[in-house]
This record gives sequence, structure tokens and C-alpha cells, in this order.
Amino acid sequence: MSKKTILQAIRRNKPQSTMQSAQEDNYRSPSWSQEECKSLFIKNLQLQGGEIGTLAELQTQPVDFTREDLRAEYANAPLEKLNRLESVLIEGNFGVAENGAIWLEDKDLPQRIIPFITQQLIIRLHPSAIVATMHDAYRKINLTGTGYGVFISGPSKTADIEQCLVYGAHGAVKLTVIL
Amino acid sequence: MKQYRIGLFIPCYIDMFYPQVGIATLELLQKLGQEVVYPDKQTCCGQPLANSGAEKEAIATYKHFVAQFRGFDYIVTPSGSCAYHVRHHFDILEQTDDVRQVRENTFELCEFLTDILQVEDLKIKFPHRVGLHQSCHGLRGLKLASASELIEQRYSKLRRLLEKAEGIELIELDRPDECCGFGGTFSIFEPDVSVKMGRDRIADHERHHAEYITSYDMSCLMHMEGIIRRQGKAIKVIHVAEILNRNSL
Amino acid sequence: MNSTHAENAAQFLADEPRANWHDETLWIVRQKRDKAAANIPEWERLRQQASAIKDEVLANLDVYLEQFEAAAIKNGATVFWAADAAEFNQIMLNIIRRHKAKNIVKSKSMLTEECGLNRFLQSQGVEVVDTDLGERIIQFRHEAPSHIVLPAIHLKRQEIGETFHEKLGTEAGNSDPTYLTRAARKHLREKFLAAEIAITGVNFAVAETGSVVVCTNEGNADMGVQSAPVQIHCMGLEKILPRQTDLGVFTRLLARNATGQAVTSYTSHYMQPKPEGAMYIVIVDNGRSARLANPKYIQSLKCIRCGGCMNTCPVYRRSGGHSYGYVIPGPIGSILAPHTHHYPDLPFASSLCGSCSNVCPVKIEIHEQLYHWRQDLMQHRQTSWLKRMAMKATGIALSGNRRYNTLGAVARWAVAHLPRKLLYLPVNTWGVGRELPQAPQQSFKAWYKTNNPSKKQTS
Repeated sequence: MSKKTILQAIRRNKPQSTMQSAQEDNYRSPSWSQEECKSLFIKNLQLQGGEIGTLAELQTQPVDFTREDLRAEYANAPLEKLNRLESVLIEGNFGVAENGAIWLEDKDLPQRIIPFITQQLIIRLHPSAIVATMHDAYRKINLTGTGYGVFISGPSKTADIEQCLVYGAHGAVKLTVIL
Repeated sequence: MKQYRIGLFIPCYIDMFYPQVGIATLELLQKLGQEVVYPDKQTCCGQPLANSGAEKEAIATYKHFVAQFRGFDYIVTPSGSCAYHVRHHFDILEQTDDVRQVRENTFELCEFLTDILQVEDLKIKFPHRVGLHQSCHGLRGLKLASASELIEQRYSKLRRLLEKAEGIELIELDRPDECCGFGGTFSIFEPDVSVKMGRDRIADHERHHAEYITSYDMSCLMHMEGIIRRQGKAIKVIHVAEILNRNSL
Repeated sequence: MNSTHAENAAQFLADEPRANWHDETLWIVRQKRDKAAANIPEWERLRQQASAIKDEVLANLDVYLEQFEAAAIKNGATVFWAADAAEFNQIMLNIIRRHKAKNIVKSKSMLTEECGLNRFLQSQGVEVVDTDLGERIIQFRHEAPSHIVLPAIHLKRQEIGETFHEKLGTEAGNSDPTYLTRAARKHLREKFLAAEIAITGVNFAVAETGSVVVCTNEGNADMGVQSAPVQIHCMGLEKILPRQTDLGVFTRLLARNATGQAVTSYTSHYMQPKPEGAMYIVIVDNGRSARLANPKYIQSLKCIRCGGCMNTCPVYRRSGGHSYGYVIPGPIGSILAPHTHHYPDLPFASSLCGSCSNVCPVKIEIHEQLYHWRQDLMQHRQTSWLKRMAMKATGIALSGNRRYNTLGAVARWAVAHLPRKLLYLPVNTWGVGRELPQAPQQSFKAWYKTNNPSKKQTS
């Protein structure tokens, strides 16, 4: 294996410089209020093709993965069963105002594929759990001990045919967020 | 207004084909009370060579340039591209005092007028619809105007000089600062893309009913004029010095 | 491809309406980018910071790579290192054989394009299904991507409709994008469910946590990775970021600069294999460590493959991605390509307008790099003999006053007196679409000699 040769080449060739950190952790988050964060989140989520809704308005009976028993039931479900999922409800960890993204990780998901394989994804999010920017988001996330995490900011989409926007390329065709 | 001793740098293609631009530049600076000297053994800044990859072959030309222009307070030229080349790409010469001074003191005409002479109103009359061609080297290299890609305060030294002219109507373009496709020897080595870029640029000005396209770079205008004449279009090109020199100072 | 960029571009431009469409479509993407960037008041500072982080990475690449590897192994991943394309392809084949996999899906990875992975695996009897819609389209058509973010941007919907009719049995003549996308969804859903191995590229790899980050809009990376028991993430060794918080900077820049979205629909962080699954990470050099040695060109390694420079490039938009002949087209491709052996014309496929450098989220001075490549290619005699001699001669002519004056006089005389037929011979490429400037009666220099206004004024 070439690990040694590659690392040797890097050591030989890399620019001379001291170990200096470029991180600017003094980034100041915009001073948006809770309300402003919420309305920005909604605006940006909608720009990305996501919808805001309530449980009552939903036309569908989602499989409710905020319930522990259903999470357990689906933990070992085969792909064929998951592929028949019409809609699922998942509890989101927190949202990001500047882009409408929502953070999900292993503990929220019976299986990692669920938010993608379902036709409709419904995420419940506490309106106070919205941070301003991705800087704030990454300060919040602790991946240690987690196997997988994802920001979801809308339904699956593509514009690969003549730049025409189509929702539902491979993942969920619809994303609804319940605040 | 302060008076300086200025070395007038007239780029090769202006000397050879557009003497009226050189004359306008000279007259304008004189009217503004400047002492203008034209070192009459000057040739070229060497950019055509360097842009083609022949920087080494251009060194003799660079040195000749420095020898002609050392010792002036400022070197002023009606070309953003040539000024950029001297300032930026003469870095391969040994940086003697002369080289350093020549590089630092070389200015494109519009930036010399706005930044050094701090001209406010030239009392020009130019009752026409005019489109601005903010050539790339001046725009992105010398920062004569804010570039559309950057998130920064909008400004334009060219616009500032022209907008006070009596009767002038400055048009807005769909693509404010797209390259016209001249690109020096690019125009010869990639003629199809170059001409297509030029045609598209002219069409943008035509769509907004410009009578004139003006710029601080005659090279871009030479390229667009070549296309305009080939296609028998009505729109005209004019170097900004020719407009600015129509003043009543 | 043996023809030059200029020849390919001429061919692309022969169909002018189509070229206009290509130009306009990508210009709209550029405009969306402008709008998204303008939404972030600190945009220029973010670019500065991204650039500084990448500088830090390159100066300490060995340290961060080892840190990343250790963290990834601790997370349960297996890490391989490949010195070049051949070793990379062999590693991939070995993993596939070890798992006896027949069904393999792959989401977008320019690295696998660079290494010719699909072609190699095919020669070994292994089929890989590309799952990004644009990539699937060009895979059906046996074409290369013409853009690194929008691989099928050179195609019209009718052409895609015909391809899908032939390959997927969609209705003849139906080229509705929604209809075609639904057909692809159905077709690829089957591939995902059957997949034994999923391959992805990598947008960012975080040294601190050992995680790899992949950004998609379609969700195809996750549909593959989360369906298949085995996941393989392929990364160029420059993809490293030191810290998780650095992702804050880069995820804010990437999608905004690429397509004008605030963020991609999915930003996935892969840390550990699935229960009973396997996770591999392959780190590839393929010329990158050698590029580190050259301070002049090291900047190109900062690229995050957003494609922004392609969308803004006036030459790219009017010549198409395939005209470049290298796997990564456009301005960034022209400084990444291995010039001295192949592609000596690419640094000249630019007007050096500098728009690429202004949009670059990590502030690579792309157009300055192109300028330097031109010098190097000339020095290494990679340009034609004729051009080199012409440059030598011009260099001599321009360095002396008398020689220069003669040149000017000859040029003015020629334009004024030579018959049009002779002036506009095909060798005069200027004259193909343009008139030569008209010859004035005298040069500025000659005018100055007779008028010498400064002397008159001062005397």
C-alpha cells in the first residue's frame, strides 16, 4: 500500500509553514431573535421546496418514528418493507435559519435510509430549536459516538434536464416541517 | 490642482492605429495643467508577448520601457490593460529603484483623473446614449470599478467621470461586465470564441439602444469595432479620452 | 481528443442557437449565484477564511491525513491509500471482489472520472450504475460529463427523451423533464434496492472526527450508501478539513457558489458503517502530492469542485465542456490538467478576464495561474515552433525604437495598400469575423514629432 510513499512525498513537497490554525472561531453569529430565526427558517425552507404544515392538515397517516415502539419495530425491517413507506414522521434535532436545513442523526432514525426511501418526509421541529447559521450548527453538533448525521433542507430534487427543477429525484418527493 | 511631471505612455496599437486617442489624452492632461512629456523612443509594454507565454522574450521590451519612463512623477496611459501589465507583470524584472517606481507610478487615465488629480467635473457636453465597456484588466486587475462577481460597494471610476457630462445617457447592460473576447492574442488563437464573445457584447449594448460604446481600453474597442464594421452595424466605439477631451476647460 | 480547444469550440459554435442556449442557461446559474452570495453580507470574508483554511491544510497535509485516518479507523472504517489511478482502480476492484458484489451504484465523484474507474471496472467485467440523474444520462449515451456539477448540461431535453425511450422504454417523443425524472427514479430505485456496494465521492473529510461529508440534491448518495451493506468513499487527498467547525465555512459557500442554493438538499456526514455493514475510505494521490512541490501552482489543490468558474467563464459557456478534452473542463480544469504531457492548449483557452478568480470560493487566482502556465509551456517548447519563432521576432521588434517604428509603418502601409483578398487570407484569423483597423495617415509618434505641443506650450 502506498500510504508511506504518499506521506513521504507530502512531507518532502509541502510548503514550509508552521502549524498555524486558520480557524476563526470568533465568528459572530447574526443577532437574530428567536422569531426572526423562525421566519427566516420558514422562508428558506420554502425556497428549497419544503413545506410548513400541521399534523391535522396532513393528507397522510405517517409512520410515527417519534414513538419508541415504532422505531424499534422498524430497526430491522427489510428494504422491501421500507420501500413501501408512504410517509414518516421524524423528530428533528434543530434547524438552521439561513438555509432551512434540519439536522437528523442515528438516534432519530430506526434506519438511516428512512428519510430518503419514504415518499413523503415529515419532520417535527421545536420552533425554539433554530440556530442562525451553519457556523452555529456545526458548533452544536457532536458527532462523537454517532455513526451518521445529515442536514436535510428540502425534498430530493434535480435540475439535470435542461436546468428544469423537478422534485423527487431519488429521495423523498415531499418534505413537510411541523413547527 | 497639483501639477505633476507626467510621462505619457501611448500603447503600441494606439500609436499605430488610433493616434486620435493619444492626442486626446495628451490634450486633456495639458488642459488640466499637467506637464506632459512623451518619451518618443517608447515602444510597447510587452503584454502581447507575455500573454502568449513569451514573457522571457518580452524582458528586453520591459527594460526598454523602464528606461524610457524612469524619473517621472507619474506615467499615464489611456489603457487599463497596459497599465495593469506594467504594474503587475513587471515583477519578473530585477526590482531596481527604477523598476519599482515605474511600476508604482503607472496609472490608467481614468484612475489618474479620479484618484490623483481628483477631478470632479470636466464640464463635458456629450448628448448621446452611451454604454460602458469596463474592460477586464482595468476592472478586475486595477479595480477601476466594482466587479459584478464581488459582494462589495458598487462604484466605477469611468462612470463617475462620465455621468456629469451634459446630455449623456449612460445605459445599463444585461451583463454589466462580461468580457468582450479580445484577450490579446486570444483573439487570434481562438478566433471563433473571441468573435462570438464580441458579437454578444455588442448585442447587449444594442439591446439597450447605445449609440456609443466607450471604454478605457482601445484594444477591446478595436476588436468590437472590427466586428461592427464587418457586420455593417450603426453603433460606434469611442475611447473615453475622446469624450473627456470634449470639455470646455 | 486530438483536436485543439479552438477547433472544438469552432464546432460547438457552428450551431449558434444551441450555443446561445448553453451560454444563457449557465449565465442564469451565475446570476443565481450572485443573488445567493449577496444574501451573505460577510461573503468576501468567508472566501478569505475558506482560502486560509485550505492554505493551512496544504501546509500540514500529512498531519491532517494521518489524524483523519486514525479517527476514521477508530470509527470502524477501513482506509486505503492509492498513489495513482491504477492503484486506486485495483483497490476498488479488490473490495468489490472481496464482497463478491455484482450490483454496484455510484453517486457523483469527479475523482472516479479522473481515474477512469468505470472503464477499468468494465474491462474486468464489473458494471457500475451512476445514480446522479445527469451522470446516468451521459452513462447511457457513453459520453463524458461536460460540467462537474451539471454533467448533462450540454444536452437538450429531446435528446434525453430519445435516450430514455431507447434505454428505459419511455414514450417516444415525450421529453417532459418531470416525466423523464420519474422514469429515472423508478429505474434507479430498483438499482438502489439491489445494490451490494455503494460508491461515493467526498466533498469534505474532517480530520478531527474522521467523518466524510457528501453533498447532493437528489439524495442519491444516501439512497445508495444506506441501501447497500458496503459503502466506499473515494477522496482526493486534498479534501481534508482540519475541524468540524470548518464545515460551517465551506457548507455556506459550496451550494451558493455552485447553483445559487443556500445549501444542498442533503449534506450527509458518514462516520461509522451501518450495523453489519462495511465502510471503506480510499485516499487518492494521483499527482496531487507532486503539485504540492510547486509553489506557483499549489493553489489549484484548494479547489472544492463547485463549478462556479465554469458558469462564469465566457469561454466555457461558448465552447462547452467537451471542447476542453480534459475530465474537468473550464478554467479550473485548465490549471488542474497535466499540461506538459497533454493539453498544452488549455491555458490558452481563456481571455484572462479574471471572472473565475473573482467567483472562486477559495480565492484561487485561476487566471494568473493560466498566465503562468502559458510561460511554462512556452519555455518547455510545448507550443508550436512557428509560434515560438514569431514571439522571438516580435520580442526583438518591440524592444527597439527604430525596429518598432518600422513594424508600425509596415502594418499601416499593408492595411492601407494591400488588396483585400491578400489582407484577408485565411491565415489572418483576426479577419475571419472582424475588419482590421483602418490605417491613419500617421502614427501618434509621427504626429507628436511635427506638433510637439508640449514644447510649443513651454517655449
